[in-house]
Amino acid sequence: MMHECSLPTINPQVVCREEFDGWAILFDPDSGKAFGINPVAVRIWKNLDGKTKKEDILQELKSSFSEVPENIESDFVDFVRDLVEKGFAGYEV
Amino acid sequence: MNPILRDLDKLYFCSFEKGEIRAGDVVVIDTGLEKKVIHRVVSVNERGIITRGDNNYADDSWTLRSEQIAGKVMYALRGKRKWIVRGGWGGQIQSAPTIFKRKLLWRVHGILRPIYQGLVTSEKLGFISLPVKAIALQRPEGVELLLMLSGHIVGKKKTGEPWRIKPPMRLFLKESDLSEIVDRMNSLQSPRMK
Repeated sequence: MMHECSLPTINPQVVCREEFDGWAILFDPDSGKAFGINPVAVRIWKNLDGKTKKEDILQELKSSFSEVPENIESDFVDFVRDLVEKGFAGYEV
Repeated sequence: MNPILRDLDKLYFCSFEKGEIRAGDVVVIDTGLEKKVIHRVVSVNERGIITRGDNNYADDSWTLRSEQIAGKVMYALRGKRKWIVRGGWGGQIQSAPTIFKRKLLWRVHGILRPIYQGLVTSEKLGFISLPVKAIALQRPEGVELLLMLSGHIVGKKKTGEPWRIKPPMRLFLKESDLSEIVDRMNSLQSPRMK
């Protein structure tokens, strides 16, 4: 379960290779797992430093992308939880 | 195959139907597992094919049959850059600097290892307190801790296993600092990570 007020930080072993169309592939050489992400998710990924607040990231998404859905927050939480469950992101201890 | 190939490089390979496998070729090895391995052919003899990653200390433990080779890597693509991956003599020349560097490091490690091991097994460690931090990652087998120093990974710890610290960092880390990280992780594990 995600902590209410803290976001994870990216797994520093994971390689993020951005493609020309803004999409990217996340690859964890430790597990061999790869994960394709869209441009919005790429922006979230770049902000997952364990310091930037969720509200600030959501605000940046709303100002950077058009037609941001109303349920962006729940999508955001689901995506971040997915990253943590796959070992692509973790919490600083 | 660092540094010639890196994670997420796109590789173009072709089968060996029209040619023979030569020492120096970079080949795609079908290990029968989920992951394929890309290594260079070291030698081909009557017993089979011997391979090794350019950056590895030793040859691979396996001896391959030709049907276990899925193909020869011809090109690699990284971003917009595309280049030829040399095979045969060209491949041996291309990999020579990496292999030389690796052998040199191996010899230096051989000299320094006993001294390092002696210091590590003694209790005279951790004479500097380094500003390390740790990241807890969820893995199928439990939580893995990555020990970070200035953005670099200097150690790892899997659940139930001891810390694996990159030499020579073990000399500078206090046992109490490492135990404290594990304690912090255990106290945070319940609300954040299953």
